Amino acid sequence: MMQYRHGTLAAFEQLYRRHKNPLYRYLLRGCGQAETAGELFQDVWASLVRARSNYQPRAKFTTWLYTLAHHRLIDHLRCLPRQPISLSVDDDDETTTPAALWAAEHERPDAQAVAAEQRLNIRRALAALPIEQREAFLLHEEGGLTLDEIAVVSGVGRETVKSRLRYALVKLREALADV
Amino acid sequence: MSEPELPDDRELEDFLAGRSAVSRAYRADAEQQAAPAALDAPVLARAAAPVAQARRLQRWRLPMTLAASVVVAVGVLRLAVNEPAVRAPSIADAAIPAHPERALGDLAATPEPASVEAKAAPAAPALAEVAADAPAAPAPPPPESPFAARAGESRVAPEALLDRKRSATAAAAETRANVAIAAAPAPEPSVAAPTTLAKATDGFSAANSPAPAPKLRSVFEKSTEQSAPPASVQLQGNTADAAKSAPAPSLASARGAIVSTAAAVAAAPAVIPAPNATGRYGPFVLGEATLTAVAEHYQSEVGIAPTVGLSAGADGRTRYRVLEYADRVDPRGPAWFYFDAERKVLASVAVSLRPALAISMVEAQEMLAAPMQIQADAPAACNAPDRPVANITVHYPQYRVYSQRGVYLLLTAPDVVSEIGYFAPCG
Repeated sequence: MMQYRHGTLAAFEQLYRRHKNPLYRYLLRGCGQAETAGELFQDVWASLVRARSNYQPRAKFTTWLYTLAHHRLIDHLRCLPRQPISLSVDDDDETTTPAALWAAEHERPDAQAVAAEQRLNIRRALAALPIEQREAFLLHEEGGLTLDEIAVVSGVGRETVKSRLRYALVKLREALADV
Repeated sequence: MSEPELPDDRELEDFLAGRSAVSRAYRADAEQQAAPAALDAPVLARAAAPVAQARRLQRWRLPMTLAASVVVAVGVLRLAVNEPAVRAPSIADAAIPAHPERALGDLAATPEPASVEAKAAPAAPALAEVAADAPAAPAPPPPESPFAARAGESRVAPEALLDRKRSATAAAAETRANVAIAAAPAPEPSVAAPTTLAKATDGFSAANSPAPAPKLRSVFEKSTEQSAPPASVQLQGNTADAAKSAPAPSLASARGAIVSTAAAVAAAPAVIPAPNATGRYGPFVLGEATLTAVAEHYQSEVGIAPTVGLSAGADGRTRYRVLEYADRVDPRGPAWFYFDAERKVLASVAVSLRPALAISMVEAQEMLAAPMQIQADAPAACNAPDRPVANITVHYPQYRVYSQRGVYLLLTAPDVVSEIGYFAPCG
């Protein structure tokens, strides 16, 4: 990021390639809509570009990036009426899953079916989680943040984050057990 | 229906370490979902915009830096070229010692007879000694005529001359401030003290001393301008005798004493009126220089002959032998030399200013200060009475006569001086 701040565009491209997919998934799982996720995704990177001159490497770049994403996502969700998040439009779309993945994991058709059902249940369970629990889970899974970093990004205490993760794990574990 | 059991710390740690089944299932699903490639272009374009702008600015940085450097260098060069003309040191500056008090001590140590007035003035004994010593110093060689020297050069603007005097005055004021600390206390109002102090200034008169001590003149005049006018008159009025024998370096060394003397006199009320003084124009002393001497001087020094004629005196009876010189004699304008027909000596010199100058500039240049008289006519020559006119202060043209300096100014309009005259008093 410091290189990009000093005018090296290649450094930004490297950062972008490294973080674009996890960030997009974080936003997609957070808001539940691919189109909205795309807009939020661009907004987050635009915020990063605008804030480059003030960037100070006080913490991990990932923490800073997901802090921007967290704020943008929360702003978006606050503008929406309070309602449970729906499944992403492509969640049930089997065509989005690369066919090679099916062939690479298991050769047995029943095993492939079980795995697909597990992923679908995970998505559904994740979408059903409260936003606080879902975000804590996503920040860890997509951003790779620790408890402390999640606490910083979310603006809550460390124990609060642990509690949210515990509740999230219970519900996701149940979704896996149903398969 | 029982509440599901929350995972313990170990299970949470497994999750945080990526070892839980939930993590594996989620990652297996997440790996299949990537950000749409359509988002890459706008994001990268937005990131590239400020970088490109910075590169454009970077491209102009070197030329702009070079251009700014050239501008600054040219400016500095021009300043350096003009600097010597602006800050040309005067001869008097070079003659001023760094420690005027020390120079004063040197003068005081010279074995010369002290005057009675000096011994009778307890308020400023050292100054009295200086007064006694200064005239006794060996006389310097007669100075070369400043106007004759200028005549061979390009014409110097009166404003430039004024600037030189101003710079000298400013430097003198700074020195005066330093010396004033050690100045003697002001004497009691009496006749003796001003007389003694006046002796101290013998040979320093601005009106009578030769040109090589302009610095000293500026110091002296500056002091007298700030003091009570009658006191300054007293100082100048008693300087008529020893002016020609005053050595310029010694005078400059004693500047601190003069300043102290002037400051002391300023505190005392003046009781003696100013007598008339003899004017001086270049190397010529009014009332002494002869027609032949003046004509020969300009013939030999400048190489020009005058236009000779006769002119009526101010009283309508006296006739003058007049020598008229063009601008080469005085850069300020043509000069007329009036010679007393009876005594055969130079009676007055009138310089017509081209262009006319503000009276403040002329007074500063000529070191003129109050008191002065306002007359309708030029100062009368010998044997011609003054003819003051009522309400002359509001009529122009008018003459402002500084008798204590032997100088008059012709004002053709308020604050506009068109002529400077130097004259000798009658008797």
